[in-house]
Amino acid sequence: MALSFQDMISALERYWAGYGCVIMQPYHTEVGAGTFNPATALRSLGPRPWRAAYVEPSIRPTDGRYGENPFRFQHYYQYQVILKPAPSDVLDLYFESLGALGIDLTAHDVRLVEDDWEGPTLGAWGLGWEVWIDGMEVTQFTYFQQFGGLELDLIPAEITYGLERLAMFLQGKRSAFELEWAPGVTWGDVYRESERQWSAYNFEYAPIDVLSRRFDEHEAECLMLVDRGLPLPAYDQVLKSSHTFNLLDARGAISVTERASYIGRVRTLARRVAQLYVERELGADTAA
Amino acid sequence: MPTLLLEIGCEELPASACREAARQLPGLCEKHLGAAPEQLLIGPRRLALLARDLPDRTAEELRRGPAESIAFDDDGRPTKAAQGVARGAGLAAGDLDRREGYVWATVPGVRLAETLPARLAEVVRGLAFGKSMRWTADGPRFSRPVRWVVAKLDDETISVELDGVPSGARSFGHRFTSGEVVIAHADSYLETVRAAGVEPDADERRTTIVDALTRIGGWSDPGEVLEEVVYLVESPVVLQGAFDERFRALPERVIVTAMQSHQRYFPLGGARFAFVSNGGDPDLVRVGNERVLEGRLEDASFTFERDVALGIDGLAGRLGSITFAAGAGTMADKAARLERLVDALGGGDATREGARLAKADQAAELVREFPDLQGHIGAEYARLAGYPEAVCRAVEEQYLPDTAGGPLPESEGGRVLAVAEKIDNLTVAFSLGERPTGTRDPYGLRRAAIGLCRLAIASGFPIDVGALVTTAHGVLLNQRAAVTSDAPADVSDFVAERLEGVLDVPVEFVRAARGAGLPTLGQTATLAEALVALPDDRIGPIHTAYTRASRLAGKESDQAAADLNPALLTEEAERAVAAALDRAAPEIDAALAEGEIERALAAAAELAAPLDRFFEDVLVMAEDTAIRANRLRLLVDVRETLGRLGDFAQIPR
Repeated sequence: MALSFQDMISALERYWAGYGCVIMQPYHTEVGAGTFNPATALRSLGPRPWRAAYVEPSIRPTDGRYGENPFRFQHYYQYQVILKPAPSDVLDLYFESLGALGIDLTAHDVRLVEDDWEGPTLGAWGLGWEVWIDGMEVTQFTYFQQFGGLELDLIPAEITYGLERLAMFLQGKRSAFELEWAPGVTWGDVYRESERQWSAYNFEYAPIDVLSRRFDEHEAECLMLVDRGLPLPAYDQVLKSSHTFNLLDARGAISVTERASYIGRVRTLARRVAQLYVERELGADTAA
Repeated sequence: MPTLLLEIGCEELPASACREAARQLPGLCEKHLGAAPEQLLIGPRRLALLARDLPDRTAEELRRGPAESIAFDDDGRPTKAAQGVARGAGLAAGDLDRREGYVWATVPGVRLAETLPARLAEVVRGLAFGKSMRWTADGPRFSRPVRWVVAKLDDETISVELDGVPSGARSFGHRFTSGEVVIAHADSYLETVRAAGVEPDADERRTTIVDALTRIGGWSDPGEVLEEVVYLVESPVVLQGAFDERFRALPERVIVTAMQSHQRYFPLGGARFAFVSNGGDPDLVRVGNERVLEGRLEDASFTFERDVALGIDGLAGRLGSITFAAGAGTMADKAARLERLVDALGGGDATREGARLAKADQAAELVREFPDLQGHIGAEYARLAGYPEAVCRAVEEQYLPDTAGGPLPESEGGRVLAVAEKIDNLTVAFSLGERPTGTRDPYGLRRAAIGLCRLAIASGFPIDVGALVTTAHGVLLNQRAAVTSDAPADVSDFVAERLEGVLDVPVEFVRAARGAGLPTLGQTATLAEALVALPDDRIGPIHTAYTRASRLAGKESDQAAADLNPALLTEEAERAVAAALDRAAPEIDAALAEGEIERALAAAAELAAPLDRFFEDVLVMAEDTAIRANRLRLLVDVRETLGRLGDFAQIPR
């Protein structure tokens, strides 16, 4: 009997807790991916080792399809693991985690397909793979090289499980809506209506004027907080400006050239915050 | 001679990195080991090589030390200098030779095995990848992390020193079906890893895959994924799958792209496909892959049906809200310019309809998912809406040729629209000041220009770049685009310059032909070909006449009279040149207008003899300024008349 969605999450929590990860909870503001959570983005910077794992709701307004398309959602889940520095057996650890979900690696075709990751709004990149099981991409694996435009001292490995796809593979389902979330309750029961309403908001009713103004405000607030030496709250403003940009994009309010300029503005903020964060990390080390 | 094995164990390397390593390893072995490897074994988890004809020992080396007078003191005892040299060579001072006033140390060769740890590390470090990474702080760079190194000289294990990467006789087999294996002897390497479920030889893997596909039959690989698949697996097993027939309602190329670019499958025709697995239970693996492909096709179907519900005309109606380029309006504006350009190119009604619909698929959701299929998807939607095939073909072929050597449009409408599309892109970019610089060409303008040249040559289509650019620019101005008020004058040259690479003619002849300033690309191309085909005894006299006339007239042309005055032609030789010019000039013009380059060249040749005599008999720089100005005018006229056939000064003789 395949694991339900919630049991799958519990199994991953147990596995990574057993390895010594700090098990965290989702971040409190919208992010496009678990990578943006400061537990990954900021903790990747600086000289301190760090191991954490957490579920992250991934909010991508343009990917919504009003709950009509069983493969596209504006809200779905990732399971994010960050291991800094990357242990030399990190791939074996990952494959063991699949074993912990009940996947027999000798019975399936599991492989690593080149996938170079770049986060233009974060000024970040890394090299790694998509992990395919029988042709289904279930995980992205990345060795980060740069964040906020800064070369990393300790190279972290990031493991991002796509929970819906992994569950579709485990449960043999063709639609995310049909996934068993808990006994007798499907993923569709939990989220279908939410997809419909949020798609309407993202595509039709999110107020463009207000959002444009908010973007400017988040940008200004971020810079103000950087000046006050507060990288953590400043980083929240990076996330908020990034999400505001995504909403404007979904509303079709951004032309191709404006797009590049918005992305550049968010990246500038991310860089400023990253620099400040690292300075303070290094300062804290010296003080201790 | 002993066999050397080097195996660099990696986390899964991209296919491109495997190919880079395969290219570099022979040279690195030559450099650091003194011989090329006999066999390269390249795959995703290991880069290995076997070398069989390495020298047992390194060669002796002769080192020159200091002068004898410095090396030995007055009593003939070795000084510190001599002792230092000897120590450095591993000798005693007494072993030093004395010759030619210097001391010499003969450093004996050493066993190969002793030098290998350092030299093999150099081979590994010498590999350079287009994209590389670090996986430890201050560690080495490689395409992906290196996790082990095995080096064996016959049965002797060589430990390679590589920044903390474990090195010994321990290797690994297939990632999931096997585990650690020990390589006992370099000669048993292949056998050992094959027994552990790994085919390390890329050629063997390719043969296995192609043989299996051929046995199945009917396979194709239009997206050329085979070379990637060879480096995605260590243990290839070819399997077949099928998808539901109902997905065949999708445009075929959408299905093929989903199979090939997204999943690296091989279409087998109909609703069947083949794919290469790296192991696992064939039935489970097949069912999983079928489910994934059907998911992708289902997703594409959702998108497709939404687009089709809107229809090609509905999509075209949305182009007004899609920006084409900042400062140059929307996709609707672009479509309007294409229509005007099609008119200017003499395209018919079907082609004009094609221009109107050309960009409609930019509003289609399916093109966002499959950007490489722009044009094709528009054509399919036009077909579904019942537009005539000529319209659909024009839409389909508008982006051709999309690579420097790619296929050209086959339909008349496709050719016209392809020319219009490229002219518009060039006009917009140049009018916005976005010329390509160095290696920066984000809008693919060089490719567009090459495409225009190829279209002109292959189809004989008259493409007057300057006039077309002026047309497109005029429309841009009417559309109130934020462009320069004058049409960019340098597009013609930018395009014609590409003829140098496109034509199989030495560049000097292409440059000469461009100098003729003929209106269309095709005429310039034909002229270049005619010039290079001209035998020496025919081009020689024209060349001489042109260069002599332009040498004199060039220097003093500001002194030339505005018009030739026949009354001032005093010498017979100059009257003869004027008469020859009167005959040749209209003949050359008429011949060029009719595209008869041979005839034009023959007319030009008639000027050679009178001009020869002119230079013998007539003093151009006469005392009388009026006569001098008139003679200079005559030479300028000669140069201009001959210059209609090209700038002959470009051709070296």
